Amino acid sequence: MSDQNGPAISLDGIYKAYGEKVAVEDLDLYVSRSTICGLLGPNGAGKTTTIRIILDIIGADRGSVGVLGGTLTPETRDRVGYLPEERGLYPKMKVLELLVFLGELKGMRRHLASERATEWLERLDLGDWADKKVQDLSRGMQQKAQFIGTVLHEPDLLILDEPFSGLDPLNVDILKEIVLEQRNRGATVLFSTHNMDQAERLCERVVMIKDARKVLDGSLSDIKREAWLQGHRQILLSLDAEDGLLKDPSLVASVEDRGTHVAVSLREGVEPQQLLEAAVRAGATVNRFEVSEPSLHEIFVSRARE
Amino acid sequence: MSKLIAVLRREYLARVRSKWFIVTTILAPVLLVAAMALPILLAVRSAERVIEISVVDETGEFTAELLRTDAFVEERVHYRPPPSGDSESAREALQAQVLSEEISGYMYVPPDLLDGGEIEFWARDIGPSLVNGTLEPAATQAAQRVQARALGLEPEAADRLTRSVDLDTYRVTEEGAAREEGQSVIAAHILALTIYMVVLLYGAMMLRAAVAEKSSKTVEIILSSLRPWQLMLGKILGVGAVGLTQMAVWLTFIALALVYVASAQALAGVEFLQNIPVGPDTLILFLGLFLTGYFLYGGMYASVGAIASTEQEASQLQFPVTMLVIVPILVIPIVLEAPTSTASAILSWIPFFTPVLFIARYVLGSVELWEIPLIFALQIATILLVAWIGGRIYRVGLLMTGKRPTVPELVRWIRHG
Repeated sequence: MSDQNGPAISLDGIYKAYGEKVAVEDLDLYVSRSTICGLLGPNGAGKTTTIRIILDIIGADRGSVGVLGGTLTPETRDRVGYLPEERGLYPKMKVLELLVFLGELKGMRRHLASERATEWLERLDLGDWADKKVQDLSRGMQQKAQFIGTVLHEPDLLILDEPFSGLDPLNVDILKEIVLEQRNRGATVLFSTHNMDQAERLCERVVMIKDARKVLDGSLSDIKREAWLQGHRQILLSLDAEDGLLKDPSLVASVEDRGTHVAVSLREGVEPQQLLEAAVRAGATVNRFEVSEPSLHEIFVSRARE
Repeated sequence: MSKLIAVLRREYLARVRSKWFIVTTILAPVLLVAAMALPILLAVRSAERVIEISVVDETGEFTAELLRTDAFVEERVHYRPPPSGDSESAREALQAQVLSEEISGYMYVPPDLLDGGEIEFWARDIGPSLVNGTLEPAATQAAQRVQARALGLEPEAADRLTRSVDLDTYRVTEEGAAREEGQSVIAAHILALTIYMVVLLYGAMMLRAAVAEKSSKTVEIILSSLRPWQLMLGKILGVGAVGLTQMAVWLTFIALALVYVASAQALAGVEFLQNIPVGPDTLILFLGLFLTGYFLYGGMYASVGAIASTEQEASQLQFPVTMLVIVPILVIPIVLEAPTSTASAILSWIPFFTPVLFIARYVLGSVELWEIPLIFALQIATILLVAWIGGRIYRVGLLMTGKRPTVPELVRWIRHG
């Protein structure tokens, strides 16, 4: 039944409504093995519902769900690791005991779970906290502990719902490193996020959902090339003065401050040259002017506004 | 299966290691024994103290009769003659002796004793066991004898006239008749109350356990690994195991206490205890009804927990279920009064009342043999129904937070769950 080479996730015509409200509408989604796929979309777009349907936490009204090349049996369930958006651990349990319990729920033997959990705790600088109660940990530490619970059983499919929210940059990097490592080990990773920067740096493949429907699906490079062909440009600009220019609604659609420079997207029909001319005319010193392909953020925002 | 055991172990250990469990399990019996033993110890102590009283007797006949009563004959109370002189000066002198603790107290018997006058007792310590338990009966008996003599009778005639009659009762059952001194009713009441308390206690525990995943927001991670029924069953079994552990500890305490009491022959109640009609058959039935009652109510409390998002909300919602637990305790007087009546039988068959009421009827010898398979069949059928409904509520309710569902919504969960 389970096909070792079949896609990690295959959703066919998934439909789910809560009463009147349609949460997911006719969604097809295929994620092949050993890829990192980002699930993007504004709040309330249906990302979490999609994830819950994949995990059979809730049932779809229509459509078929395939996980790791077959239907979701108890055995395949054990090969999936899940980090829910709503983080939570039993507050009164000791950290190591909790991780062993989570491992057991994935069919691991107790001593193996204990051994691996200890290694992971050491690696994530939580070694001294193994015998402390969860409630004594800081939020960031709890989040790391929960992440350990997700990867402890070396799952073939990792589903992470907003994995980086609430973490400091240092821990974001550590977690990213682990996500890449899991992929290199052969695992498939599906993660949802609002943070386009992270998606851009991690994902080979992105799927965007908006208002219960899929609006984008493809490899990151394909999506960017397509946007370029459609005329989407982004100008990386650094000016010494004359900020008023960037607020001119006849030229500029949006501005993203990136510290050393700003990323400007132009209004439809405006050529990059026109912006440069305007800058020179305004007497600003142009330190940097670069026409680049749009960032994922840019594509996301324009799609979300449509 | 191994996942079920993992859930069971977690639920069990989380509770057995809690301070609450240690306190109630170890400390409760210790406190209970202390509370029972303390008054006995104190009574023994006060019995060792010599009580010496005096009497100012204006009738001239009372004192002689008082000294013939058991309390004085057996020397539980000693008599010291009052100082000579008129009653006024005698009382003043005695008052001083009471204050200086030479004597424990004195009685004043008025001249109109036979016409309704009351006897007074003056003392520093007026303990109920001395006054009500010793002096009052003695004074009553003495006064009655004085009265008898005044009526021209022998003083002993008073004892015969005032004798009260006890009804010796015999309970007639199919197995034969047996002497009954109220011990069956007490045993029935105790067993019924025990089931009631245990169901209430562990029902509340089950309620908290069912909310734990929601209040700690672990629901999703757990549900990505196992089915809702595995979680619910693991919890009910885990909390049930905590209950059995606690009962085992308590029963051990009780057994040790009984062995001690029996070996010491310390209490006259030992014979009474031996007459209690609780045999192995009763204990097996008790255990069976405890288990069905626990599963029945555990399932209902778990469903309530699944509807709530927080422990506070859960304790507000539990009211209808708790009512069902309380009703049998409210109607148990009917069963104790007339255990063989049709009303009692029917009440004890209603599955939600069976655990408490049926054990009471059984102890009172009012159960027909065919009723036992009947009530267990009803119990199991109801448990299955509750599990089916509860499982559906649990499955949907686990992922719901925030808004509490309305009754029509609940019905929809059950129908489509």
